[in-house]
Amino acid sequence: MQNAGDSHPAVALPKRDTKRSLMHAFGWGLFLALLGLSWEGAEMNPGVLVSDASNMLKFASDFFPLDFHEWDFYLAEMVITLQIAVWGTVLSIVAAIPFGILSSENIVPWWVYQPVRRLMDAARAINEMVFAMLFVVVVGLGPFAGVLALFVHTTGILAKLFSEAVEAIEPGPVEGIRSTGASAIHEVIFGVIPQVLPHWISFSLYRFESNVRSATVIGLVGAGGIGVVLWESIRAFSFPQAGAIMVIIILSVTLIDLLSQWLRKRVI
Amino acid sequence: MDTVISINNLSKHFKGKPALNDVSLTISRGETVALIGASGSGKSTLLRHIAGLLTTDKSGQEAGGCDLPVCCVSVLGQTIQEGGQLAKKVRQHRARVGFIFQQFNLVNRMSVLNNVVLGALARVPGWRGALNWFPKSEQLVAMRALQRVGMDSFANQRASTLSGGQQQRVAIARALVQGAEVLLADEPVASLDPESSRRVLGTLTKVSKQDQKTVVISLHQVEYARQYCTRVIALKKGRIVFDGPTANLTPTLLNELYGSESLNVHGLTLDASEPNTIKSSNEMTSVI
Repeated sequence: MQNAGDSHPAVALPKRDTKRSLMHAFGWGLFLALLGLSWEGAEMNPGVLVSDASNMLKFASDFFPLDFHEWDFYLAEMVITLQIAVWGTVLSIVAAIPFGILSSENIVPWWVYQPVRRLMDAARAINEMVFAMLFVVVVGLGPFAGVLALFVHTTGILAKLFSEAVEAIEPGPVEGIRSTGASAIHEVIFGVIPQVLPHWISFSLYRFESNVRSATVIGLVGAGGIGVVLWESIRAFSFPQAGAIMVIIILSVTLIDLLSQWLRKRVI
Repeated sequence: MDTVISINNLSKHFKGKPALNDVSLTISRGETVALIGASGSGKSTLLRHIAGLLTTDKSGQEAGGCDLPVCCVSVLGQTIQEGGQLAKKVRQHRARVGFIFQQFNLVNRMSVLNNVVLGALARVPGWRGALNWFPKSEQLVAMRALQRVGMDSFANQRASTLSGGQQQRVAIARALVQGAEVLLADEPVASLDPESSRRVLGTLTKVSKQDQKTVVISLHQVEYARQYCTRVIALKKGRIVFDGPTANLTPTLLNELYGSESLNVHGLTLDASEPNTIKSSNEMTSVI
């Protein structure tokens, strides 16, 4: 715009919305109060980090030099861990597709999505470690318990993510399919899924990355894989071995992350 | 002539705001009807009710102190909805009614042919449809439909790679595969350039004339209504204010529909020598 000529009426900034600024201040106050209250409960004590620094240094030095003598065994266990993650993730994707659709507001009535969502909440609320402990009791020690634990927990997470993608779709293509006289299932297959597919693939790959990390941990409760070996060496105070195992875990997780990021970019 | 679309006492409120007010009309087989009116006059709402994509106000609902009569919409002798309730078999009936959308509403990630063959969803077994595994005969029907709209050479291309006009012609092909006897087109050319608009409307009216289909097109541009349709229904604030042959559209009426200033916008000028006819000014301005 050029200089406003005299013909233009004077402009003024809109009035500040006092109610909104008050709400803003109130929100921040609430957040700071929450932080303060949690300080006590979490027994926050940053001073220890400084006063006990020498302790930590000594502990850290116990890990070196790393002991890679049994590297082939570690690698074999790491592969089992990845296999746990693969099956846990694939099973959860298969389950999350119907559960995700059934917890979408724009697809099913409330009396369907409410109970399904609560069920998914439950699957999500309990950590995979806890599930692993339960499944170890049911199916015995070993990788299968780990697969089941990841399966149940990840289904809860993916179903939520999937349904959020479904709730954000354009209604148009669904109506396009509906107008041909198609059934409700067809509407989902041709109207909904093509729209959400890239998101779903991206979420699934991301959960696979997370599950590789989780699979290393659930070994701690006996659900197979590298986690078991790690836990054994820590309990035996064989820190050089534990360090070597951790290096292998870090390398594998990094590799998987890079791989899945590359894949995700290609899909979208 | 037999009645193809019949609407009785259709009223619709969106969150208490009236969108359609006691609309009743009948349309006979083979008619090409233009639905005109300003934005928000209820054109789309009316079309969507005919296809059963929206339901009318519930019967017995109070409006202005008196009970509304039962709204009933039927197409080809089958009730689509009555008293705000969709008919049980509405999905079957929808197959006989093709709907062309302003935004085309194709499956972007699928090929053109695949999109068109989806028109057969209602008549192939459900499992085949679900697996996207259509018999060869249906695929040939789809190819023939594509040929009719001049899009057969794009059959293998993804729908998202086409221009708007091309997508709209693919959408027409999908309705042809449906075997729809009635075509409802909701602002089919509102997001297209003039050249594509003419191509789309030309295709739409040509194939429907060949197949004796009944067509209802909602349009923004009065010029197109005059060119392609024989009957015009004009809506204003949810009421029918004109219903008759296109030739009877008078400047006075258009003035009332759109307000006097907008006549220019619609590419229409009043011809002084013949006060009751409307002439199109230059072609480019005929599209907003």
